[in-house]
Amino acid sequence: MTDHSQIMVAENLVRHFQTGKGQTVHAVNDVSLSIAPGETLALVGESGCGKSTLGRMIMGLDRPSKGSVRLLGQDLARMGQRELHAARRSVQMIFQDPSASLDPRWTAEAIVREPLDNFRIGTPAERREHVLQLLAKVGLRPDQAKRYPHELSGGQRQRLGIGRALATRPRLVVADEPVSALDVSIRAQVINLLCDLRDEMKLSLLFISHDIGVVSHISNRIAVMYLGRIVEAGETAAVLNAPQHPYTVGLLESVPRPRPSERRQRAPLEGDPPSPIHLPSGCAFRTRCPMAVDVCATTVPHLRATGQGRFSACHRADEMKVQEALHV
Amino acid sequence: MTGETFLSVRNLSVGFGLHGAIRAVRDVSFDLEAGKTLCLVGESGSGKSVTAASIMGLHKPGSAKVEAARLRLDGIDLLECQEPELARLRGSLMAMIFQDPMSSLNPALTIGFQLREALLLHEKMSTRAANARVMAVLQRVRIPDAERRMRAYPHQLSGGMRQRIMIAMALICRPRLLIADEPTTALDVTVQAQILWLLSELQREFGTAIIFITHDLGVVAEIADDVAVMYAGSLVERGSVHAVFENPSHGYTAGLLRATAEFVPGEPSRGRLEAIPGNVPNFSMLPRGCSFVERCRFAAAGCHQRMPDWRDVAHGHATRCDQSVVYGAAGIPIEKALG
Repeated sequence: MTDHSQIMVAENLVRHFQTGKGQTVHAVNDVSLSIAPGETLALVGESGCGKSTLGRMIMGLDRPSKGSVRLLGQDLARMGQRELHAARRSVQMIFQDPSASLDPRWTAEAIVREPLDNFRIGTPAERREHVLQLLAKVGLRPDQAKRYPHELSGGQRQRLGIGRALATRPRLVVADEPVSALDVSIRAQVINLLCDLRDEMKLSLLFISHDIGVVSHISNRIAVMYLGRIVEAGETAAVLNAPQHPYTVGLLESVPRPRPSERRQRAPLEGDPPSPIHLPSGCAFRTRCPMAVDVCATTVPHLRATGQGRFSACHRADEMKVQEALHV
Repeated sequence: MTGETFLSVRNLSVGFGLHGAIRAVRDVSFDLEAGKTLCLVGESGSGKSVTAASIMGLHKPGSAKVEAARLRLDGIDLLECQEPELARLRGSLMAMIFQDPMSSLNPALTIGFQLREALLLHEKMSTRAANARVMAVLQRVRIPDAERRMRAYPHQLSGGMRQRIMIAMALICRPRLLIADEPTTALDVTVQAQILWLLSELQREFGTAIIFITHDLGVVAEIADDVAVMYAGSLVERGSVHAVFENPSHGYTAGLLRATAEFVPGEPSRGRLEAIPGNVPNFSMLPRGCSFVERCRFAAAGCHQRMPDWRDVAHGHATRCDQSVVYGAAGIPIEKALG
């Protein structure tokens, strides 16, 4: 696949870490995905499923053990230091905890200005102007430009983190759980801001989250990860309305919904995810799967097309489609 | 029971700092019936945990100024209790579990030891009998391979398993009140669902009353009988979970419900979320009048003057808001609800 129309193409990414005891942590196993211009792809999964590691490899912050990442048609692995630096202008990142990702000794203004200085964008006067515009864009008042991160609230700090990420006019923004640390009333403000700026600047967004509610609002496409693999992918509404992988089903049923009259009647998915050091044979989900059969223990199910732009890594995906047809 | 409410809190106020000048909890009143679940909802800093700690008597003497007209649990006046008496009640009559089980468990002691300790503190029994009880309770909270786990240290268990241990420890002496302070916030959703399921199972079995503290409205809808919504140290709305969710009658409750990103199968995404503007006010700079007034879309001139009194919306459903909140329930588009 050498599709140059895509902003980012990751192919067969693998990332293994070695522990001190000589064991191998299989953080990411054979993941391929791509993001089109202006598209928001949500990466969903529970802690330890490898979604942040995947995000870091796409940013070029971590090198894959195998596989490749192509940004705007260029292979990250083949770039030298200087080219990599230039490429970072077009991909930026927003982190979960704004108080940990902003330098406490810098003012809001200096934080947003740093990327402009780094990439020598504009004259000093233009940079100053641009900084004030950016701060206004993310909803910070001009008098807050001289404030330090600790003088801002959690929501304002995350706005600042967004301002910094957008300073270089990137094509792709990787947002790793950007609203998880915020209170509900503030969370909605920040999600709306992110959506507005994405549309205005025609950004592509890789939105890493465990929150299905937020993801259903913000993304066009969704990729569900479990233990280092994408188990299901497709258009967001289609996947959430009619999942084709039992893990997606379990995940959706676990999400508590603010509707007391529609309480969950069935017992939830049992057990914990297995350790990424000792992966089960075959399908990694089979130890918790209510649909598991013999073949699941022997053969790793690969992500395969199931029609209408959807993908599932379940041996029994076709049967799930039948179930779906019966439900409707 | 003598017809008296199981837990009754009246006009609870808690202040910190010099002369209790920083009033983290102001004039909070609620009741809880035996065997029921009350969810205390609010955002960070709204005073939920301080309220819970006051019931448990966990504030250090001298650090907090706790005042209340009444604080009665199961016929016992907690305001009259001295520390030794409270220490006896904690664990046996009332118990608490916290958000982060790793910081509540001792990393240097085995699970079995810590559970046995909780039991032996309140009941006279042999170590062997205690071990048998510990085994039974571990199996009850569905810890697989319980015998081996008793010899394990906290770091050897997963987050979900540690929270099960905390629940086992809290319930081992069969308390009649369990206070759960954001017990599932640090857990993944599938594990959260397991813990919520387990808690309601145990509640049915033992008849434990639960005060569940959370900021997650989805969790509230899942487990609450009654809801009490807190904002900036005050209770703003209370009632049955159905009443509060289907007819939110305070600007803050309605705003929270609307701001919650929710996926509804079969329905298209609502697009833009309706955010609550502004930030939670600082305790030292609370507005005069209703503390939510500056962020409320229903605010009228009177709201700036004084904090509204409680007003009954329906039987058992009351709000501290004088305005008619015409938001409608979550899920109805705002335009429709307002039109």
